[in-house]
This record gives sequence, C-alpha cells and structure tokens, in this order.
Amino acid sequence: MNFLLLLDRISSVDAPSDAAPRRDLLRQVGQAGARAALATLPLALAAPAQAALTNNAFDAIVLLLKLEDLLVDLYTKALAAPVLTSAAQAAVRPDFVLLLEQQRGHARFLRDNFSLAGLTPPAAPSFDFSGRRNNPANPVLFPDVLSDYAAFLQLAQQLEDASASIYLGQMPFLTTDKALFDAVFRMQLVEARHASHLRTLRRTAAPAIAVKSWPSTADPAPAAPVLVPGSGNGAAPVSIYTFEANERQISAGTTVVPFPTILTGLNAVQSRSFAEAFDEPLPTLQATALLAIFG
Amino acid sequence: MSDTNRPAGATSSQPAPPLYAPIKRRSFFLYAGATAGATALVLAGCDKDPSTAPATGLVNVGITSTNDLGVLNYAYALEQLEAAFYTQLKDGDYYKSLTAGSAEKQILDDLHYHEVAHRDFFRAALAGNAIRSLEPDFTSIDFGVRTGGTGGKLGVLDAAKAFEDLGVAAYNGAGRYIQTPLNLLLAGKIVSVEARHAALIRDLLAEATFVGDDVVQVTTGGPIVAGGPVSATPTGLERSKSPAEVVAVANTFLKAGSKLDVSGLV
Repeated sequence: MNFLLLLDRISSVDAPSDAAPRRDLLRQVGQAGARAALATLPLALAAPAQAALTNNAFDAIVLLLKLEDLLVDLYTKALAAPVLTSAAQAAVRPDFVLLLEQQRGHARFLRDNFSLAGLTPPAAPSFDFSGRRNNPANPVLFPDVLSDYAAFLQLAQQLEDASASIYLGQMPFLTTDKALFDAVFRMQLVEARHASHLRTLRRTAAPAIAVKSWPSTADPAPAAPVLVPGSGNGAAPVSIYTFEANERQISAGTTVVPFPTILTGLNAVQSRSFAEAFDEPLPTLQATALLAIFG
Repeated sequence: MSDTNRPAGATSSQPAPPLYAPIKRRSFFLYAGATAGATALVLAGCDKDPSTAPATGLVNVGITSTNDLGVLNYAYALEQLEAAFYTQLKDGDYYKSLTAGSAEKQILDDLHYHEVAHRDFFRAALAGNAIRSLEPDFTSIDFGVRTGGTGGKLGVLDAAKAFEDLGVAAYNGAGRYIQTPLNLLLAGKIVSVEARHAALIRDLLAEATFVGDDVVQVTTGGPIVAGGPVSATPTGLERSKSPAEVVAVANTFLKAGSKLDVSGLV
C-alpha cells in the first residue's frame, strides 16, 4: 500500500537542523536504501523522535500504534483481573471482549503496514496502569484500576476519549496519503463509538456517574484524572478534557463561527452544546505525554 | 441491523415522487399533526435567500475538482436532514410523552442541539456558497412511537439510528474528497461526535450494540482500504458509504425538489 510512498516522502521532508537522527539517516542513504536501513534499525529508537515531537505521517503511525497497544493491554489485563472476572461484571464482560477484539484489529492493521513496508514494527511496551511508570517507588495515580469496576471505567473512559482525540490530532499529518488517511479516519470513528459506550456504561453502572456520551462541561470531573501538559511553556498539567471545552470553531483562515449570535431564537441551544458538538484533537505533545504515563 | 436498511427498503421501491407526493403529504400531516406544518415553515424560514429552485429537479451539492465547497455542501445537506429530524421529533408525541428530566429526553435534547450546531456551522462556513434549505419528507417515520411504527414506519429511535449511522458512514466515505487540512480536521471533529451519537442510540435500542457488523468490520475481514490489502481477520474499522450510496437513502427523506445530486463528488 501507500506506506512505501509515505516512507519515500518522509525521506524528502525538510527537517529542522536538529532533526531526529533517524530522519537524517533517511536523507543520507536515499530512498532505496532507507527502507533496508530502517528495517535493521530497532524501532525503539523511534522514541527519541517522538520526544522531539516530529509531526509527520510516519511518527503519527508510531504514536497511534502505541495508543492501540495501550488499549489492547488495558482490556487484556482487565479481562484477566478481578475487575472483570467477578460475577458482578458477568453481564458487561462481553462488551470488553468486543472492545479488545477491535483494538487488536487496529493494532494489527497498523503493524501490517510496517511489515508491508519491509519494516519491523515496534513491540508493545510494558504498560503500567497504576500510573507508577513501572517503578513501585512512584505514587499510585490510578488506584484499584484492575480490581474496582468504577475505578476501571473511569480510567477506560478517559483513555477512549483521549484515543478519539489523539487520532484527530494526528489526522493533519496523514492528509497527503488518502488511503492511509481513510483507514485512520475509520479507526477514529470506532474509538469514538467505544468512548460513547464506556460513558453509557458509567451512566448505567451502580453507583451511576452522570456523564454524557460525549465530553461535556456538565460531566463530573474524574476523581483520578489523566493529566497532560497544559498549552504553553511551563503551563501546569491539565485534564485531557480541558481541550474538549473549546467553544470556538474556525471555518477558514481566522474566521470564528459566531455560535452565540447564530444559534438563537428557534435554533437556540444550551451554550455547552457549542463545545459538545465538536470533538477536539489532542496535540502531539499532550498525546505523547499521556502515553508516557503508562509505558 | 435490519433497521439500518429499512429506510432504503421502505421507500426505494416506490416510484419517483410527483405521483405519490400528495398522498405522502397527507399522511405526513395525519401522523405529525399541525405542528409538523409549523416545523416545515420554520425550516423554510431558515433560508434567508428564498429558493428559486424548481419544485422538481435535484439540488446539486457541487463539485470536488477545484475546492471543498461540494463536499462541504454535501455535509451541510446531511446535517440539515438530521437537524430537521430532531426538530420535528421534539414536536412529536413520543418525545412529548417522555418525563421531564428523564435520561432519554435529555439525550434527545442534546442530539437536537448538536445537530442544529452542526447545520448552522456549515451554513455559516459556506455563507453565499451554501445550497438552499432542504425540505424533509419524514412520512416514513412515526413520531409517536419509540420503535417499530405501524405499517412499516420507523419509530423515532429507529430513525435516529438510521440517520446517525448514515451520517457517520457518509463523512467517512467523503473524507477522501476533502482537500484542505482544516476542513479534514473539521469533518473529523464533527463525525467523531456523530459516531458517539450513533453508538448511544444503538445502545438505547439494544444494550451493547454500539458497534455492529453492519457499521464496523466486527466479525468479518475484507479490504482495509479500496485497492489496498485484504485482511482475513476482523479489522475493527468503521464501514464507509460512497456519496451515491448515501443519497440513495437520504433522498428517501427529502421532498421532490430537495433531493440531492452528488454526481460532482468524484
């Protein structure tokens, strides 16, 4: 598929002077040799490139694969843990089997693209859902995720919401490859369906949490929030939902659609709907930081 | 699953509009009552630029070869349809029978708000390039019942599911026609919420049906992208519909003179 073309394109990308070594390598060895060189390069080396926040199609796919691996691991562990093996959750267990199967499908699809391009896909990292980053000395950020159903749903909802947003954030870097964009678009939609379902599960669980099926300023804030860097240098960490509260939509250039003045009279809506009606992208910086919390 | 296909099946077998329009309109008022007339007026009133389009003929959304106006108008047309549906739903007996503050009433209110916001977003974005306001034909929907109307009509949740799933598949199939990155992202931001709606309505109809093999490759493999590799195992990818497939369904919910022509989306 066009992933090969994509690699070729990356190799000709104008990179900043402090470009990731991998990309320098690509430029030096040229297109034909690039694939072979990349294939022998352990893709663990992709990590520094991510840290350098390169926004291109290749790094977008690496990021999305790590995201899918994260969700696969979350559901795999939960299905084997008391949180979903307990009799109390017997009725919802099949939902998570289904969720797992679809995340697996996505991860497999992304890996297949690496393989088709002659690359060794990156292996899934070892994820830790306690928030201790695989170090018992660190504080627990997300207690009882694998033993308490409410705690599990709270984290799963945030990760599925973030997933829909991370996909949206990477889409602009995939626009030059229509086929790849098409597939990623179709995965994003399934992530949004998952997020909606998890919110429905929280709303119908006991005790019920009054969240809507889309991020809303009316939602109760999570007790154990997934925090990411705020916008701007040195900004304090913020909840992923900070980005979702955006009420301004730009239609072209700098033109903001004036919802407060056009949605009046018979078309009046509750003002929180301006934000609810649009899911928002999570930028690469925040997406990378979020994934690093877990592995 | 069969519900999704019902709108197409229910009306596509009928001949073209002119002959049937009077009958349809009569039953329309029979079911929806006088308020439906008011709604139709409201919809027509939304158009600041009174339409001069002939009563018959199609509304051409435009072309894709030079800019994004055609595909944006395509999205605008579908959002008009969805917004009109929820607007009329709120005048219907089923909605009115819901207890104030009930979960389902809140959900239907929110869906109405979101779709109105989407419609007016496109109207504002397209400004002078927008197609006319479309007149819906919801005669195949019984606004008095939740599901399974008599005579093969759709209940309100059946119809909501059909519209939401259709909207998702439509955006999904139209992404390839969008040229500017900003418009691609905007489409993504909107359809992501449509997918949340679709999953919610499906869960309301039957618990844990937020994805079904009719909308996502759940149990079957298949081509991952057109012309691309074929997966033998389920991909977990959303299914998409071409503009032609979408309007074949959408046009059954639009009156003669408001039916869409998407032949320019290539």
